[in-house]
Amino acid sequence: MLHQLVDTQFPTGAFSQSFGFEYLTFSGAVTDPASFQNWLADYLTEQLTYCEGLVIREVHQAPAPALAQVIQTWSAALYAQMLPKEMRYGNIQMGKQFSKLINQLLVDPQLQQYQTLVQEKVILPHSAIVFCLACRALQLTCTETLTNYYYMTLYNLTQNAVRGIPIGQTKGQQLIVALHPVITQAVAQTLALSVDEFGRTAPGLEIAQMKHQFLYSRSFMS
Amino acid sequence: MDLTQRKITGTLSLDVVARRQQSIPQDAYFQGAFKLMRPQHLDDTGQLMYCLLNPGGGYLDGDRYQMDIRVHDTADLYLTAQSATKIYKTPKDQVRQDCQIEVGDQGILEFTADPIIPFQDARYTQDQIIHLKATSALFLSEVLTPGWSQDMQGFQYDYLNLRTRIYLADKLQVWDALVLEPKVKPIHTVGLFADYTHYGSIYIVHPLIDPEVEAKFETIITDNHPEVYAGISQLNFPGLAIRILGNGTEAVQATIDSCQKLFRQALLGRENALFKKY
Repeated sequence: MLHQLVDTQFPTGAFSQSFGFEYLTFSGAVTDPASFQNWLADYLTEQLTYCEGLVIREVHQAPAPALAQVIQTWSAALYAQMLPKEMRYGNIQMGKQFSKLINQLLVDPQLQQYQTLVQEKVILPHSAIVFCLACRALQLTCTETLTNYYYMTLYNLTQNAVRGIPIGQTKGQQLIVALHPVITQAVAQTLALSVDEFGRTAPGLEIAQMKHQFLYSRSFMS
Repeated sequence: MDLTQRKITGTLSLDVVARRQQSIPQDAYFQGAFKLMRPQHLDDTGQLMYCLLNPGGGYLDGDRYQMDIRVHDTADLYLTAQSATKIYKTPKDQVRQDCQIEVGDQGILEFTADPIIPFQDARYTQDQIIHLKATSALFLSEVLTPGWSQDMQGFQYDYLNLRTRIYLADKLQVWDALVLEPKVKPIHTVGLFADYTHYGSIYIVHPLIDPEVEAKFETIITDNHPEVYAGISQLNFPGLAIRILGNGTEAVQATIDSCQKLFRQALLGRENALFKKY
């Protein structure tokens, strides 16, 4: 099951999101495997870790009776932290598709409860939380959940860079291998963060994510 | 919070209310390292203007600052500062500033904080919590410089944390945390500051903000300030977030000034509003 979730062919819509790198390709800042890898490392260590990663940790560790409340609190925080409009739209779409799909593949009361919260518009859906609940259902540890989430996100973005920049298929695979230790480090850091550190992002990432919506010709939705 | 254990270095508490055609201070209290200059009405809009001073010249290790600003229903306040927020080195502790802001129904707050200059080996945490109503208007800006160090290299401080949270009708809408540790994580990477040295942030909130208004701000930044690298985005509610990277305080500040002028013209309808920076 986990293999299906982290597969880039798993239809959550991740293939149409660049989370800002498409703008940087247009502006000339991200044009080859090395510059893309630098952007991806910043995206992981300056945004993903402090936002989605921390939320995954909190949701994963929440006791079942408190889960719905924890999900509501962190869903609101997650979308409050996403200032670029396209990031919010892209993530809502992905989360919606992911939640709907997973409930047709796995029968789990917590995933069902999540889908209900989404349908009743109590929360905005986000794939980080859906992924976390699926991993909870599959009895993965928090470390395994984070590792797989980071891997999945970086792998999807790299596949998009292979098509979008473009970079070679082999270069793309090599780049993922090079990022393995960075992922391990990011997971350790996520587990050690204080809740107060939530929401950290960096201006270079955000400005590109904001400027993307003003591009004339775009292959990606963000 | 550690405020109970620490002596507060500077406190500011300001209540502004609307009376007839003018906004007036109902209560203005400051002690310690904060000082407010005598309030003024700069034009005929009734807006009250205050300038905030730090007579000590800079923030010292262990300093704690507390600001509470309440702009009551239909009141209108322009709060600005005089020079720069210097944070000197903090070998033992850090400097912390907590700021609580409330803007009531149809209240207006323009708050243009002066540039933050973190010195070599400084640690600074700033936490702003802003409560707005659906009809409040806000212009909030901030500038961060690379700081000061003996070698003039910049980015020689230890830690900087600027956090802003905005609640609209008690609902969390913005959670913004800029955390920089330049000695641990290099600043000049594509995701952080790229090749730039100065950072600016603007929040603009007004019930009339829509894509058309957003486009006006986008155009003025792109056309008039090509020297900065800036992004603008509409928030989850009628509000805009603007992020700026540039080289030099002037470039970033000029972009902020243009946006403030447009905020006044396009959203407050003050075509000929006096615009004066102290």
